[in-house]
Amino acid sequence: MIAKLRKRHLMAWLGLALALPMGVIFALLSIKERPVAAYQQPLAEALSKIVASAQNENVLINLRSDRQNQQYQIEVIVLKPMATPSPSLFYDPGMDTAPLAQHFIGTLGPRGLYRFPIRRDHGEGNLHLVVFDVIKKEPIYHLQLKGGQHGS
Amino acid sequence: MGVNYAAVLWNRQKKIYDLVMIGLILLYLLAFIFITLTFHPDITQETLLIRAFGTLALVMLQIILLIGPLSRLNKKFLPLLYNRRHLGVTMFLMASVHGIFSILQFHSGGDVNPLVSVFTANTDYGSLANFPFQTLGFVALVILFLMASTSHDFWLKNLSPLVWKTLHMFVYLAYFLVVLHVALGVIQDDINPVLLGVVAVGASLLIVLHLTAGFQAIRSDNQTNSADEAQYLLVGAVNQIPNNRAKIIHHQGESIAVFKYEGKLSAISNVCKHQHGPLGEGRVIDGCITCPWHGYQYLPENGCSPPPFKEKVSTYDLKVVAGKVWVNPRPHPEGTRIEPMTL
Repeated sequence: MIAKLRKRHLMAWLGLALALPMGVIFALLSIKERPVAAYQQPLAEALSKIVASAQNENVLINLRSDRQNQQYQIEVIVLKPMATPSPSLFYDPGMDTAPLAQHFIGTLGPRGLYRFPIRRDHGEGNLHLVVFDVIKKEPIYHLQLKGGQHGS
Repeated sequence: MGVNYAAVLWNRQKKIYDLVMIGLILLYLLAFIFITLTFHPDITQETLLIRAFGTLALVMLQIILLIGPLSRLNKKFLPLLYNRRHLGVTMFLMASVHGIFSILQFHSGGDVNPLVSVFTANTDYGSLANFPFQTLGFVALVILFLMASTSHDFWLKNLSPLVWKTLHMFVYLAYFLVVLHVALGVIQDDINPVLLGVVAVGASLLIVLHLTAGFQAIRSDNQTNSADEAQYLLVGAVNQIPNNRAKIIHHQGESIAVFKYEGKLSAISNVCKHQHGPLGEGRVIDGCITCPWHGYQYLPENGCSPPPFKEKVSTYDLKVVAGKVWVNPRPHPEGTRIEPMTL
């Protein structure tokens, strides 16, 4: 290497000797506690009976009830994360229309377990559900729960 | 040193170098996947691949940057320098896998072009905690792409060694961006002590070794050799120069390599025409001075590469007085034959 280039290398590393530690130290100092835990709903206790189930490659959905069939809940096990960052579970309004706010059941996230309480009258009948991408406003897939049978 | 530009001029050393490199890469990937799955069995395949290739590229980049100063400080590391450009291109490919998987995973699910999404999904440049770190990685990847695509001797020849070397110094900017990409990215969400250690130890080693080698070189450049009345500079005693090796002296920003071989002495410029490697740190092999960086060769008596190659360096006059070697620092035109000094 010629003297001119040697000097350039040295100057570059003198600059990096200051910039690299400063960059890392400022980055470490900027780490803050993420408030995610505060916003997450605590996971509800599972009701005792599984009334119906449906599964596809991404999720396993159970309709659960208590022994007296007085309370119902939807249990979603996300087996494989979905490609969309904003999947939410809705009652399917049918007719290929987008669900409205009153159809909302809950938001799904990464792989894991989710439980959402639903009204008793919804739990007693056939449940038509849709996992909907609320940003792209399009259904990801539909699921149907029939008492004690596997849906599609 | 090719007459024609071939994609790669293979030889045994390069094949061994590349085989060892590929073996170590596979070993790293397997070890990373095994250890990660042991401690995080729920990790998705996409995340596993993104992290495996990302950390591999980071480690490779740090090793590549270590090779230069290590070779200048200790000649034992010179074999690592010989095929460093293959290491560099491979590192770029590993970083590309990391980048492509990351863009597919985090930016392809929306209704915006994934490449546009990299720059528009987060524009919080005023916040360190939420800094759009992916743009830093993207810019670093673009720099590495430019370097990998101009790594061939075709570009070196056409851009000139000085311009090419200057361009390739952008690797330092790329490294800075990569360190910030890690520090403002994954470390903000998960302070992984191993990853933090790799960055901290790697950066510290690089800084110390580059500064040590740099200051040592500047000291050598500034050293003065005593001159006689004819302005010849003292090189040293004949027996201080090892056989088939050289002693290097510096004079007004130029450096001269005085070689002893087959009972003779010759002096040529210390700067190789290929990448400005230090010829004086090389050896005389098969009668030719051989650059320690990439094996370019020159005849000691005239500074010309043996036919059919056409590279030429300057030659210098020598004299031996009372067992001491003296060199005239005024160079002859490149390729000028000077009768070797017989001992």
